[in-house]
Amino acid sequence: MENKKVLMIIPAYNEQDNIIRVVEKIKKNYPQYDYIIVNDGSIDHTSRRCHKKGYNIIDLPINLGLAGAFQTGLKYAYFHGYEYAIQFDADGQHKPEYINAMFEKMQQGYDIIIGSRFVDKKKEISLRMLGSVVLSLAIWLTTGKRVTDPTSGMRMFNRDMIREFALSINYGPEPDTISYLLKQGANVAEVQVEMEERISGESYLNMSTAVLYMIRMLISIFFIQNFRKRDGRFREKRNLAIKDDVREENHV
Amino acid sequence: MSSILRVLLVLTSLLFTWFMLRKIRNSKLQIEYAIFWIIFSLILIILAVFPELTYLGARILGFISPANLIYLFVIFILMVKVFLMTIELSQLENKVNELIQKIALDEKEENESK
Repeated sequence: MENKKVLMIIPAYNEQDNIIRVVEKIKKNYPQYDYIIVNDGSIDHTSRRCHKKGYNIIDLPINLGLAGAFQTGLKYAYFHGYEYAIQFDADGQHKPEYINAMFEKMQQGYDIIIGSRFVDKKKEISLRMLGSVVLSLAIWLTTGKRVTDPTSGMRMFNRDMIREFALSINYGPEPDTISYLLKQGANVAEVQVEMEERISGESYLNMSTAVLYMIRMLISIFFIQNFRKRDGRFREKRNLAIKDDVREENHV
Repeated sequence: MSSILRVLLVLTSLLFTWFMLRKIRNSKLQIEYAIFWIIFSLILIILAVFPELTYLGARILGFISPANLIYLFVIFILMVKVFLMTIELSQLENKVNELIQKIALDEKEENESK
């Protein structure tokens, strides 16, 4: 077990222009958090620059996509005994200033804290926000819970969620998983954060993939997630160590 | 379009969907891969429940039998799917090869540095 509790997982795909700036800021101003860079088979100098600086980095030999890269980080968090893990973008969109607020909120007994841009602020009306509005509505209709920023990549997980995401199939870091976990009785809360616009590099999403993404998410949220196993396993607070151990074995 | 064909379309579609959902439930299938089959099943059910759509399509495209349009449609979609899957499979095999080679090379390096 390590002393530090929070691990920042930084998936990076071709982020040579951003990664140094992002990691230097963390190392300088937020030494209380550990970090792990997951280089998702980048074909630029991301890996070389990180190794040169001596950063804590895992190199995936092949590009897995965001979900696979993030899961790699969660496996690392799980096997190193971290209590909390937070997904943190390598392009500088996320601000480490807000991690503490999310951590504080976590202490109230939540399983997932989403860093949301829209807790206090209204969503601007634009095509880009349309997807967000529709997904919020879909989650509300299927779970009765309001998630104002379902596509926010800045999510903090507790140990239960780390295990769940690290070891199971169909736990992509996406809104449909959030809706499934809400149905399972997981406690999800949001904390107001600000995000930066991307300074350089390309986003994972463009117009056609965005449409496909929405179709996939909506079919998943409205239809498929209803048929997944629902044992409400996060409904009761699990303080029973014995029960936990049994589940641990089942997973392996 | 005979009612037997319509019933068959609905039944196989439902069976397909049920099978996919069961696989997801048992953690044997990624959701991404089920989406295609669920959309495909949905389209077949719509075509079976509203045969007017097929009649209209057959008239416009000059088919004598509307059932033929259904067959052609299914064959076309499946051909595209098989084509895409061939590409995916090839990429997958490539990735596995790369992984095996990387592991073997890494192990060799490790042994030599001992």
